[in-house]
Amino acid sequence: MRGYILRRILLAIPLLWLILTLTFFVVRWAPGKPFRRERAVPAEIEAHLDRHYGLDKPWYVQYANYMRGLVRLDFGPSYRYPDATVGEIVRQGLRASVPIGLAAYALALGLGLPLGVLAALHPHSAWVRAVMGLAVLGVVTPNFVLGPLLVLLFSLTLYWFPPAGWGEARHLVLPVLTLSAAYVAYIARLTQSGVQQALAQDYIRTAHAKGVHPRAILLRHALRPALLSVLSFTGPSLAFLLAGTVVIEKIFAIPGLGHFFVQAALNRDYTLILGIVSFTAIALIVLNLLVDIAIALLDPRVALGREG
Amino acid sequence: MSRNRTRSEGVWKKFSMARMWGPLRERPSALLAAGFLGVVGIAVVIGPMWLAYGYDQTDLELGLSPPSLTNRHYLGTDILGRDLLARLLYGGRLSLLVALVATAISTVIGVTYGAISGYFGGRVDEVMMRVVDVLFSLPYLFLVLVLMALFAEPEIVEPMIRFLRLRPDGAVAEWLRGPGVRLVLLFAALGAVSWLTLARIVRGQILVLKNEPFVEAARAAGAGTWTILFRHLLPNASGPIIAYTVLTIPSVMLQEAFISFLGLGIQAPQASWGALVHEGMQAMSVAPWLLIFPAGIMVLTFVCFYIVGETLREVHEKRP
Amino acid sequence: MKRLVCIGVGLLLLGSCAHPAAYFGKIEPPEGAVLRVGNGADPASLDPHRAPGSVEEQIVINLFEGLTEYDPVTLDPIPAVAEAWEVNEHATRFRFRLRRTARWSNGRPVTAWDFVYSWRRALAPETASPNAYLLYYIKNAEAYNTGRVKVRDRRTGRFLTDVFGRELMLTPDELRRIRREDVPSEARHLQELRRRLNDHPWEAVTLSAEDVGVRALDDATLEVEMEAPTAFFLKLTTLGVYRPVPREAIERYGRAWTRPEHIVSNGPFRLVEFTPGRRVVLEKNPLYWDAARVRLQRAIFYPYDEATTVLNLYKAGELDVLVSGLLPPYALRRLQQKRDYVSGPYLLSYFLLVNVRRPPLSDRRVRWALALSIDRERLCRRLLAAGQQPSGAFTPSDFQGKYPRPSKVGYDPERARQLLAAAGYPEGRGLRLRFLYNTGALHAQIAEAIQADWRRTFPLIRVELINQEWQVYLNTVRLGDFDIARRSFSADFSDPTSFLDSMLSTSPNNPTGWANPEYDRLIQQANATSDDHRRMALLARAEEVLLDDLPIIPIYSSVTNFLRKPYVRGWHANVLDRHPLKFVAVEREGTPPGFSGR
Repeated sequence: MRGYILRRILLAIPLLWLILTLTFFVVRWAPGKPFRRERAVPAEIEAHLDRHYGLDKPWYVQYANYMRGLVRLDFGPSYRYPDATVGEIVRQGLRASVPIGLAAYALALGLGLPLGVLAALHPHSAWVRAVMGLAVLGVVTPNFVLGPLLVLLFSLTLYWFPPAGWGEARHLVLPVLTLSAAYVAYIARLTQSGVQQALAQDYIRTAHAKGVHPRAILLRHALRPALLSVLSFTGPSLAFLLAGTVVIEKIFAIPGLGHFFVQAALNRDYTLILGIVSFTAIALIVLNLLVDIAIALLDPRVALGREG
Repeated sequence: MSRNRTRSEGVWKKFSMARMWGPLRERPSALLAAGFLGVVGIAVVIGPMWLAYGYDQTDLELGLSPPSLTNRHYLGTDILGRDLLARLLYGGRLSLLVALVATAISTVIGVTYGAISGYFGGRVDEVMMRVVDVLFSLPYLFLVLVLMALFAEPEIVEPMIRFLRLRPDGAVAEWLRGPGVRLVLLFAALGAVSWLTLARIVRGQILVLKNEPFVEAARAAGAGTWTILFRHLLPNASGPIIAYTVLTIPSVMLQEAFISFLGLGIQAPQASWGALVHEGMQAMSVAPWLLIFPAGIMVLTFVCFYIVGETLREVHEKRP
Repeated sequence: MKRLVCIGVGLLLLGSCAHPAAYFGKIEPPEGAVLRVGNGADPASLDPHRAPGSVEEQIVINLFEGLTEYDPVTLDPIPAVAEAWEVNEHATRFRFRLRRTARWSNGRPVTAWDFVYSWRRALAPETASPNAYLLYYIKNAEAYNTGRVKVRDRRTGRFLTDVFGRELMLTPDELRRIRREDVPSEARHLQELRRRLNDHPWEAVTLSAEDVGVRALDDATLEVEMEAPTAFFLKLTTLGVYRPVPREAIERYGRAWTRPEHIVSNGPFRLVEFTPGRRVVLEKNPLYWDAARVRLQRAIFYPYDEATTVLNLYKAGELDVLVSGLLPPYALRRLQQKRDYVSGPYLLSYFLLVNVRRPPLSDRRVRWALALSIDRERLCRRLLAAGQQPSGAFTPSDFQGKYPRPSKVGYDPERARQLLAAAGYPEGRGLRLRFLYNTGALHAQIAEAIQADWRRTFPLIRVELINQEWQVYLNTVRLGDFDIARRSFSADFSDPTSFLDSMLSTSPNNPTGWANPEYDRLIQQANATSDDHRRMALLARAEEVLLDDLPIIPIYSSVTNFLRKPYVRGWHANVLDRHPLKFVAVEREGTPPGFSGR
C-alpha cells in the first residue's frame, strides 16, 4: 500500500509536466494574443509589451524559461493583472472557491447519500419518488436559471440573503445551494443503483439467511459497494468544484478561480491560465489518489496496483 | 448458477422491444414521458413546416410582442420580432441532435475505455487512468477554441468533404462549409469531454465485478476476454451506466448552451434551446415568455428523459 | 413536477409585474460618507502608465491628480496641480504654474520634476505603457518611445520637415534602407526622401528621454514643447497616463509599488485595499491640498460584470451608482421609466468595417448599396431603444457645436437597389458576404437585424453571420480576414481627431485596407494647424472624403446610461463617462421619502 502511494505520487510529477506542456502549447495555439484590446496600439508599443514579458522570444525559449520558473515554483507575472503574480491571484481565487466547493459537495453528499439509500430500500414510496423528482429537477434546471430564481426568491422578494457578493457567511448560502443542486441527484442516483444491485447479490441473501440484522446488512454490505461508484464520481467532480465554477461565480459575483480563469482566457493571460490549470491538475491527481485508496479500503476485492 | 447465466446474457437482448414494452405498460408515468418525447421529436422534425413564420424571419416593429392568437405568434416574439415557437422547434432540432449524438459518442468511448481499463488492471489501468487525468486537467475551453479556429478554415473542411466522398457542390458539402462544421465540432468537443467521468465510473464497477464467481464460471467455460467483458461484465454494470448516461443528456445540452454563450457554438440566426433560455434570462423582466417557454420545454424534456431512463434501468435490473 | 413548474412561472411573473415605483429598489443611503460603485471589471493595474482602459482610468483619476482635472459635467480641463497656464500663439508651447500646496501622500511636495520624471517613464520603452501613444503630441515623445530617428541637416543644424512643417521620423528599418540605397520603388515617400537627402549632408539622430519636450524651469514651473500645434493639449493633460507617479515608491518597490502598503499618491483619495475580483477601496487623502472640498470618506469599486447581478445588487441597495454600459439591454425598457436612470450622449461610434481589399467590396457602389439599405432609425428605436442616435457619419457628435460634422449616409433602399444592380449584382444575385461580430451585448441582434435589412432590400443576397470569441475576433479583424465586421470605437479625449486619426492609412486601427492620400493629407494638415476653427473645417473635409468612399458603414452614435441612487450628488452623465470623485457626495438630506420600490 505504502509503495503504491509513493509510486502514484512520483508518477504525478511527469503527469503534471505533461499537462502543463500540453496546456502551454494549446493556449498559444488558440487565436489571439495577450494585451490585445479593441483599440489597437502602434506596433512599437506592442513590441515593448512583448519584450517586457518575454513574448518576443521563440517558443522553445519561452517554454524553457517557463519550466525553469516552475522548478522554483515561480509562475511568473500575470498579464491580465500586471501588478500581481500568478501565485497571488491563484491563492486569492482559492480563498473563495475552496469553501464554496467543499460546502456544496458536502451538502450534496449529505442529501444525496441518504436519499439514494432510501430510494433503493423503498422504491415504491411516493414520498421518496417525490423527493427524487425534486432532486432531478435540480439536475435538469440550468444553473444560470436556478441561480437567478433563487436570487429572485430569497434576495429580492424575501430579503433573506444578499443577491451576490463575497466576504461574509451569508454570501455563501445561495451559491452553495445552486451549486449543490446539480450534484444531489447524481449522488442519489449512483447510490440508489449501487445499493439495489448490492441487495440483489448472493452474499446479501446469505447474510439475510444467516439472520444478520437488516440495518447491519445495509451498512456493512450494501452501502459499501454503492459508495464505490459515488467515490469514483467524487474525484473529478470535487476537483471541478474546487477549481471554481464559472457560471455560479459570475451570477453571484464571487472572486474565485473560475472568475480568474475566465479573465485569463478572455485576455489570453497565458501564465495565469497555466497557473490555474496546474492547480486543477494537482487537485485532481490528489483527489483521484485518495479516491483510489478509499476504494481499496472499502472493497477488499480491489487490490491496489497488483495484476488481476 | 442459473441466475448468473441469465444475468450474463448479452445486454442487447434485454433491450429488445418486446421485453421493454411489457414493463413499460405497467408504468403510466413512463408511458406519458415516452409519449411526450415522441411528440417533441415529431414536432421539432416536421413542426417548422406548418408554421406561418420562419425561425429567422424578423420584423422589428413586432419586437417583444407577447403570446397572441391574433397575430399568429402563439408564443410571442423575441427582440427582433421573430416567432418564438418557430425558434423553439428549430432550436429543438439542433439541441436534441447535438445532445443525443454527443451522449452516444461519450457513452461508447467512456464505457469501452473504462471497461478495458478496469478489466485488464495493473499497468494498463494505471496508464489509461492517468491519460484520463491529463485530459481532464486540460482547459477544454481552449481545446474548443483551437478546434474551432483550426477547423473553420476551408483548408480543413475541403479535405473532410473529399474524405467523406461528398459531392463538392451538394447540399451536405455546402452545409458543412457553412454552419455544419460548427455543429460537427460541437459534437466532437462535447463528446470528447463528457466521457471521462463515465470511464472512471465504469472502471470502478468492473474492478469490483471482475472477481465475481460468474466471471470465473464464464472463463472456465472457455469464454474469451472480449466475450467476458462485453457479454458478462458490462451488462452487470449497466445500472450505473444507464443512470449516468441519462443524466449526461441534460448536462451536454447545458454545456452546449454555455459554449454557444461564449460564441463558439451554434451560429446566429440559428438557435438552440440552451441559447434561447440564456437569452430569455436576460429578457426575463420585460418579456417573461422568452424564458418561460424555452426553459419549460427544456426542463420537461429533461424530466421525461430521466423518467424513461429510470424505467429502463429498473426494468433491466429487476427483470433479468 | 408540473406544479413546481407552475410555481416557478408564477414567481417569474410576480417578479416581472411588480407595481411600478419611482425608484428602482432601496433608496436608503448607506452608513457614513461611502460610495459604492459598480465599475464593470477588475482594474488590470493601478499604475497610471500601465492602466490600459476606462475601468482603470475611473479609479486612477481619483488616486493621482494631474495638471488639470475633468469638470464633472462638461469634462473641460479645470485647474488641478497646475493652478494656471499659458499657451503660445501657435499652441506649440505650454507653460504650467504648479500650485505650491500640492503634496504627495507621504508629505513631499509635488513639483514640476515629478511630471518630467513621470512623462519620461510613461514613454520609456522598458515601461511598456500601452497608452504611451497618447503622449506622442509632445516634442520627440514618439521618436523616443518608438525608437525612430529624426534627420538633421549638418549645415543648418535643423531637422528636416515634411510639407506641413513637421519633423520627419524614420524607423530604423527605413533608415537602413536609405543608407544602403535599397528603397523599393513602391515606397514613394522614401524614394522622395532619398532624393532630398542627396542634396544635403545629413545625419540621423536617435532621441532619448532627455530630448522629450518637457522641462522643469523650477520646482513650480513646467514647460512643454509640442511636436506640432496641439490646441487640445489641456484635454490630454487630464488623462490618466499624464498624471504624475511617485519616483521614490517606484524605485524602491518596482512592480509592487501600487500595493496599498507601498503606494504614494497625490490625489484626493488614497488606496487602502485592492483585492482582484472583489473590490478596490479608496479613502479620503487627508494630505490632499483641496481636502476640505472632498466630501466622500470612502469609495469602493466593485468589479462585477454580469449585468443581471449588477442590477440585483443595485436594487438591493448594495451599490449606489454604476458606470455606463452595465445595464442589461433588455431591462433598459423598464429602467428608463425610473427616476434613477440617467442617460446622455456618449463619444462612441458603432459602425461596420468593410474590407475594401476584397472584391466585390472593393467596388464603392457595393459599399454604398449596403450602407443605404440599413434602416438605422428603426434599429435604434425598436432594437436598441435607449436613446442611441442613427448615425450618418464616422464621428458620433458635433463636439459642442465646434465641429461641422458631415452626415451623409441615410436609408434609401431604392437607390441601394440601383447601385447594386449597376455594380453587377441585381437583387443581390451572386453577392455572398461573411459578417463578423463578437460575442456579447446586442452585437448578435444588431447583426441579425442588418442581415434582415439586406435580405429585404436584396432578396438574393447571401449573408453569413460569424460569431467569434472576443480575442479570436480581434485577431481575425487584425489579420484583415473578414468581409464585413462590426466595430465600436470610443474617444480617448473629446476631439474629432480621436476618431479620425484611426482611419489614416498608417493607423493600426484601420484594418479595412482603405488608404486615401487625400484623407491622410487633410488630417495631417489639420494636425499642423493652430487655428482651431480652421482645424475643425479641415477635419470635417477629411471625414467627407471618408464618407464618400465608405470603408466604414456608420450605424449609430451611442449613449451613456446608468443608474444612480437619489442620494448620490455630483456624479453626472458626460460624453466620456468619467467621474472624478472629488466632486461626488452622498447626501442624507433631501431624499424624497416613501419611494422605496420593491
